[in-house]
Amino acid sequence: MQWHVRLSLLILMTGAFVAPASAADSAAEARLKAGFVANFLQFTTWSDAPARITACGLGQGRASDTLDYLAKAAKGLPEISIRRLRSQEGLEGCHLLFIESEQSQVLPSVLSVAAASRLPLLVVTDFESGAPLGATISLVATGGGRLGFDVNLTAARSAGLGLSTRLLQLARRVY
Amino acid sequence: MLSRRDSLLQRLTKAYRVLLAGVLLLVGSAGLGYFLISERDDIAQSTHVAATMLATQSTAALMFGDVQVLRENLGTLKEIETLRWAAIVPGAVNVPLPVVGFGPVPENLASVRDRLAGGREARSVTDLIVRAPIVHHGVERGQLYVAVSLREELVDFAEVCALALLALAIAFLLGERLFSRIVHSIVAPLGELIDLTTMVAGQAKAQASLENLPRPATEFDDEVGQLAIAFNEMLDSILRRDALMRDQAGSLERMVEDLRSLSARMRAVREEERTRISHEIHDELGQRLTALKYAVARLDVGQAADDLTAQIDELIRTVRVISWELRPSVLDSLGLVAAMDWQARDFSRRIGIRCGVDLPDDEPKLPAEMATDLFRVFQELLTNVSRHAQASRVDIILEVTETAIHLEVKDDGRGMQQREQDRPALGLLGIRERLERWGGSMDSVPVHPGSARPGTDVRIMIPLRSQEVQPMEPMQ
Repeated sequence: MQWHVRLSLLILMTGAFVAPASAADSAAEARLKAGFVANFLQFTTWSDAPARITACGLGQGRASDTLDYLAKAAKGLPEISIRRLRSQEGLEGCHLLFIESEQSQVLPSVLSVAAASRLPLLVVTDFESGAPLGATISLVATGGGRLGFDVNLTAARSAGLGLSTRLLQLARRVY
Repeated sequence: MLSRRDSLLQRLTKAYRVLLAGVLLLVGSAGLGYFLISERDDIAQSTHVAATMLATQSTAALMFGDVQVLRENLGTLKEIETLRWAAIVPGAVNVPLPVVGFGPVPENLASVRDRLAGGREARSVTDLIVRAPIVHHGVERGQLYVAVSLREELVDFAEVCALALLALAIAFLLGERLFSRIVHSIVAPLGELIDLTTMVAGQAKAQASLENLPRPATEFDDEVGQLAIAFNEMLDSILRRDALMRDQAGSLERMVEDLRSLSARMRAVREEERTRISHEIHDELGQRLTALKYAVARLDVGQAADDLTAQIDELIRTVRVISWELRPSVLDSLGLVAAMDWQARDFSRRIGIRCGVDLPDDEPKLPAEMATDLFRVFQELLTNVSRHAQASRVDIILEVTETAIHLEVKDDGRGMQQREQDRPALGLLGIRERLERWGGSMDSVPVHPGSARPGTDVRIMIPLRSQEVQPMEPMQ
């Protein structure tokens, strides 16, 4: 009995330690990604120059957290309203779409919908294959807790988005 | 400092040194100060430009936290040779980012921020720190600090200063030589003029001729040349005046000489006239009166004849006195000493003043005119005593040596000063005129100075040349 108790206690303690730690890690990561996304907004120009930017998120987990932080991170920008999507329905009115890595399979359909409706949509994916597949920007973990990004310039142009050259300078890859 | 003890050249050189040193110092320090300030301003300006450009360039990298790119960007500042360090301090960025630095960034950046005190730049003697805010969309994302060393620039400045000082020193020395030559060219002719003037003054003091003195050069048109011309004109006019004065003095002398000889001739003529008249009166009038007396005596007319004879005797005496006074016959027949002796006794008898007489035993042989003049002087002195001195006694001393005649007439009267106040000394003027002819002199001093009756001692001296006196032979 004793060792069970001890083991369960140990597991509980470990869990108690590990869980907040991983929670803290994921919070920091979400905050960093929100910062990146907010910065993308600041280096992007839309053809219709919206007074209010609507940032949409597709996904349940991290995308939601990232969007939570986004509103706080986007200082010096036009007001941002956050919209959480469950599917690619309701893309109309979005200026930015953040797709978390678990939702990577919806990317092609999202892109085709956006292309069909000629939506000026800045698509940011939280997975590396986003940009080569046609997303505008994909976030890339560069190791050591660092974050980088790739840019698909063709996609940006066809969506009618202007990306600052300074942003392009920082991109790891430009497609 | 510029006292008049120093020469013109020294003073001008001093003035030149002071003025030039002042001007050069003023201009030099102003120029160098301007150079330093403007040079530093240029450095600050270019640093600001570089910092601002870099700040703009680094916006995106800062916001995305790309340390690599930030480092690379800071690395471009290497082009600034005097760069000490540069640092980007993140502000409101969405990603965690440390301070990105290049070069020896000070650990305590807060003190740097304090030094800047919100401004864009902080400058000290040795360094310059420039701050450029990194702004995107109106939000300050961070600060870029660039620190530049000004030491090299100071060293450059010191070199420039040293070169400038060297150039100034050379210019100063060359300028002084040139200036001293210029001043010398002005002052040297002045010195010559001063020498000439001194020479003229010396010649004039020595009463030497000014004729053959050197003359200053007059072929130049400057002030000194004009001074030389004026100097020459002045010397010429002095020479002309000298000549004129010599002429005038000569003619004046001749005139005086003429007057003297005229006066002497007149005296001689008068003396001859007197002698002639005296002889006429004595011989003609005296003998006829004597004849008349004997004729009256032979008439035998009693008492009347005696009266008549007495009157004729009186007349004969009067005629003799007149004749004597016109010309003492003793002077011609017996000589000066006898005439003076006779005159003194006659004076004593007629005026009632006792006469002490001390005359030489022998008759000195003098020129007849000199004897006459001396006798007339003697007569005049006695007349003066009888008229003015109120004296009771007169002493007369005549002394003849080989070189001079001395005549002394002493009385115990009121004194000369008192007498001269009574009447202008016309008699004395006559005495002086007679003495001047023989180069003689007259002095008068009181016998008892300070007393109520000081008396007068008149001393006459006539110098004798050797041929004029032969004392042993009586005059005939």
